[in-house]
Amino acid sequence: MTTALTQGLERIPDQIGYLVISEDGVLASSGELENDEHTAGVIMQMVRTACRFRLHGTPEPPFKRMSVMFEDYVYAVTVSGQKVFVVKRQNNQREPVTV
Amino acid sequence: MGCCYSSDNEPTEQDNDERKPLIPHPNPDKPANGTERSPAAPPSTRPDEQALLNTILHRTAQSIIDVSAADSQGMEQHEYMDKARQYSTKLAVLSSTLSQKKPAPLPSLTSQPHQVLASDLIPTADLLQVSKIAAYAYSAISQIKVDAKEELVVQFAVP
Repeated sequence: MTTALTQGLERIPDQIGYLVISEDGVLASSGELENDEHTAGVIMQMVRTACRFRLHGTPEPPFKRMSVMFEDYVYAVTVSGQKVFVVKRQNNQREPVTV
Repeated sequence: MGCCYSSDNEPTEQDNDERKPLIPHPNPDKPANGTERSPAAPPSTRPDEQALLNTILHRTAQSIIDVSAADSQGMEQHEYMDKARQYSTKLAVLSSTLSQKKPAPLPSLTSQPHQVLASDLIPTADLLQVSKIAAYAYSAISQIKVDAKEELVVQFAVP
């Protein structure tokens, strides 16, 4: 079952690690996020907080993906079927130079 | 074993005695407010101290609960069963309300997690714009201040 989850994550472009987390704990991990339970814990807390946001009283959270952006890499996070998927991707975009 | 006592009541005439400081004020030139005893009369404070000590001892003796000396009375079987039943029914009532406190389940954001995670990252330009807007908001909030127009405390002119 984990291969079905992780196969798609493996193929994400520029990915340097991923985590699949459930309410009980980490289901799968790889790359730079391998065995990273600390990051999993922090991201779970962020997801729980973010999922409580509502716009104009709509019943669902107003977003599909949460991105935690650092200078060189990004954590892309989403929730599907009671599982949290986290992918660490390289951030190759360069900041535009304003002249 | 010890006991703690405190009271929020306003000090009555009786309490004034209990609240008088045990050690007389060191500076005889400037007596503390409300103190009437002169610091140069130590012998006359002895009976006060003794009375105070006795009051404290008496109060402690009254309030103290000595657990080790308590005699454990055996309960009869039917009493025990009754109590056990009473407690378990109470627990059952409480646990039904407690179980409702489980954290909300995670909502599903998408049915295509791989596609969502693989799609384009947030453009740097968008990120810079949002950071700028947030900085403006922060600056605006930090400039919120109270504009005092009038004195809050005024003197009433009494003719």
